[in-house]
Amino acid sequence: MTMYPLQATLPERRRAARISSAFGASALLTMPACIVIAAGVVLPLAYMLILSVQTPDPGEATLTTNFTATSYVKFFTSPFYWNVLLKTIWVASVTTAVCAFLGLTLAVSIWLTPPRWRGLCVLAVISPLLVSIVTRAFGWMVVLGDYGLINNLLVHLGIIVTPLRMMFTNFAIVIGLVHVFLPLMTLPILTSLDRVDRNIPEAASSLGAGALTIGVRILLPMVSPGLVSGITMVFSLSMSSYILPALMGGADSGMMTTLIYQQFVVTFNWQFGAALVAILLATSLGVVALLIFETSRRTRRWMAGR
Amino acid sequence: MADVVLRNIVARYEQFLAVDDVSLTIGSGEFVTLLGPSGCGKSTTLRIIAGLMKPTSGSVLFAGRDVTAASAADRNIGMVFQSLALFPHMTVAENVAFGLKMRGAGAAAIEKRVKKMLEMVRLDQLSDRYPSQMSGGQQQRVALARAIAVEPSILILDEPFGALDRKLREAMQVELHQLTREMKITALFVTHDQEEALMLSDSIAVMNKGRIEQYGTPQEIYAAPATRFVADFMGMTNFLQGRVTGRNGDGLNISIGEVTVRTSEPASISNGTDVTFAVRPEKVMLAATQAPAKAAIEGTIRQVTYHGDASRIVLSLKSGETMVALETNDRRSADRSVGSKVWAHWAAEDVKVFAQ
Amino acid sequence: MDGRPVIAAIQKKAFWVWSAFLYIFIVTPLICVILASFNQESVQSVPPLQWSLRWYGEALRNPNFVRGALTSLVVATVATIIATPIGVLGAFGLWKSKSRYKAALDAFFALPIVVPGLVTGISLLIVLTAADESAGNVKLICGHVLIVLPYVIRTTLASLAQFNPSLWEAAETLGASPPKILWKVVLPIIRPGIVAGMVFGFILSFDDVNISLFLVDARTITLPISIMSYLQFSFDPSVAAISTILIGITFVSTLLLERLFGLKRLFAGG
Repeated sequence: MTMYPLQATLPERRRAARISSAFGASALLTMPACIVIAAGVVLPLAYMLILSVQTPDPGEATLTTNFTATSYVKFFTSPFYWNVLLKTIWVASVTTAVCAFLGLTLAVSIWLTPPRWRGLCVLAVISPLLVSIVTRAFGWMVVLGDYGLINNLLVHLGIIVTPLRMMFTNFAIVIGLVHVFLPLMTLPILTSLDRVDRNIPEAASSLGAGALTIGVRILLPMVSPGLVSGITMVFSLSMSSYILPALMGGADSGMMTTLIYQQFVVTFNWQFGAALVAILLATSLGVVALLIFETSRRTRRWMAGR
Repeated sequence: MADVVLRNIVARYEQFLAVDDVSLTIGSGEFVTLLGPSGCGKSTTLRIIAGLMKPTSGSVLFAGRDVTAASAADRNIGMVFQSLALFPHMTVAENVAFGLKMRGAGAAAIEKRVKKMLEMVRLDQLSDRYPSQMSGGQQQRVALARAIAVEPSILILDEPFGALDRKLREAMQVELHQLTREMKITALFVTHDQEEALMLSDSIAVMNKGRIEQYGTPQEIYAAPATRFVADFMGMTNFLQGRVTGRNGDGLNISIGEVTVRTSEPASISNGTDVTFAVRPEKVMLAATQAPAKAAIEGTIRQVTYHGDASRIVLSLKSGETMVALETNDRRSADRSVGSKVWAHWAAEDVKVFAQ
Repeated sequence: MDGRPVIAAIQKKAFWVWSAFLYIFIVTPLICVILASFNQESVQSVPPLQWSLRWYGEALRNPNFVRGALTSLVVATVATIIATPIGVLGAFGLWKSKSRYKAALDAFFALPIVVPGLVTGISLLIVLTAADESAGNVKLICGHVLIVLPYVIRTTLASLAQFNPSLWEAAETLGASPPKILWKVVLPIIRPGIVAGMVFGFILSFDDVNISLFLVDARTITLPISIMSYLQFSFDPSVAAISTILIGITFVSTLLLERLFGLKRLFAGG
């Protein structure tokens, strides 16, 4: 091995090109993403919140420094609007509860499925997420419609004569929402379940516990992180869901989101609409925060170190 | 090739002192090994030399130039990792060419050099294969070729053969020895395997708890360990307590219990000092009776285990201490059944003495 | 004394029946859409009274559907092309970051997913109106970049988490600077993860209604929204037909994603 013509090029070249530090480089790399998110989500949101305290003026979107609580007062002094909010919370809660129950059982079912079929099962659960919500809503219209699948079946079997009215009811909204959010509830629970040592239910069984007991008293507490994660996700998404309630419940569905849509696209009361959005967000966040606080208090002790 | 100097390197993580004032000189073309148990600081020292880690204090010099502040990319080193770290998405030839590409060498020069490197490790027929298509031994050779291709100031190897099976490991050790001597490469090797260190190195630094306990040639480390730790680590594992009773020509007289034994070591330990006395199991000979001229210690056999070409015999002595003898199986001169009495003796030159 | 084994057996049977019901529940609406599309007459009958491909022809001839499909395609493609480099760079930056704000930044990158689509859509509408931006496609692309971006970041980060750090060090010792290492060593290896994020983001962008709803106008419309408008007035199987086509494309993409990346990783919360 003779001389090292290659060696000399290194140190000098690099010293000149050196950026200050690893931190500096990281900040530079994340800058575009941060700008996009700040400009696309954070700033518009802030703008909207400020708009909500502007004087109501249809079609006007500029901000002034004249702050007024007119829109909020309008909302909170009206029984009609309160009703809408409460109904939205009610629907979201029922959806979340049903989803939680179904999600738990589905997650356990997948957990117990032999590994050969498991991938397929998970795929079956997830793939609806990649289909547009419009298609899924339409699907339910076909199923629940007056001449849809269920009614056809029931009439055919002679169980009923006139079709059951299922579309454009609260029932339809809940079913639709449950269907849409079931995967989002199931997967976090499944993740939690996968962390459970399989010997534990076996130990419980050897001590005489039946399947139901094992499920409720042993598995359920152990999957609570996943369950809480799923519940908070589904509740927030249900609260702010527009398409499905609109299609399944009709224009007079009485949900906050329908109301909001009307303000922005029909009556152009943007300031009031902004206030509605703010109230919706605050309610959603409030309930979720309460839930998280309550459950973390209970599980903190034995969860420490996980 | 360059020489590498470490001056007073200290490396501290929070409260833990990983490297405690280490100074070392690696001469140009020399093969130096850092040897020691896990956690002794050898890997940390290696990473500081490589530039993958900055020392808390102290300096690193390559050919007289202070490179302490320079990153690994700027030090012109070649490194072989324990996990090999071959780029899975590049062929063998592309892997070996990588360092050369980074230095902006021309395509023709790169091709020539890559070919030469691969010929040297006998992989020139496989230059278009991907790492996943090669055996463990072949992957090792690619990692080596890649590191050497850039003509590094120093070749650094971090326990590269640890994951290999015995046969492959020995083959790689032979190959590495030959390659580094032929190409006069300055090399720094880290291992916990003393046999490997003895075989490969020009010099060995035995490390313990962040410090170098002894630095010397393999022969020195093996035959003349400077501290009890080094003796123990290098296989001199029989330790007995005794007291110096006087000089005897070149060596010392040490009394162990009622017996006085001689050492030929010209150690200057004063009379009356308590010492620890070390001898290798292989050097302990067992006799059925106490031959009058030899100083021998009486012991009772507690355990005998068979190891193919040798047997390992554990004795308990009157003082309560244990002694281990490793005897080749064709040289049985006394009864080796459990419970029988034997007399253990050895040559004076085979003994090392350490003051307490 | 035990009826226990019998009860256990019944419980077991009941559980698997219930599970089967759940799977049926999940796929029924989609199956119904597919079946309804083959109706001969203008009814959403499941199963079809008479089978025909008539409505596929109708759907493909519907100018709104065609326009919508084209717009959705263009918007999704452009949004993905814009969002991908931004997302990959962002993921690299987060991965290499040693700052205390790393976790906060991670959460920040998830904001577009956390904030409801409705809210994002409305806020963007307000801001873009105030900024007097009226080009429909531009508005849509702005919104859709926000849809694709967080998923590209997520999948890239997940791939980076599995990247062997020794490879970085090896490249470093061979003289490569960090940008070179990212380009020549890291990127090629994590490419499947990036592509998975792109495909997923593309699909979600194509399907999107929540954000698009507020960014469309008389001249610009996306396919899902044109379907929705159509539903307000008519209820014939052409909707089923176009939806079935969409389901087919989605199904193929899902298989692709599963092969490349593994879908579960995208959604695992907890």
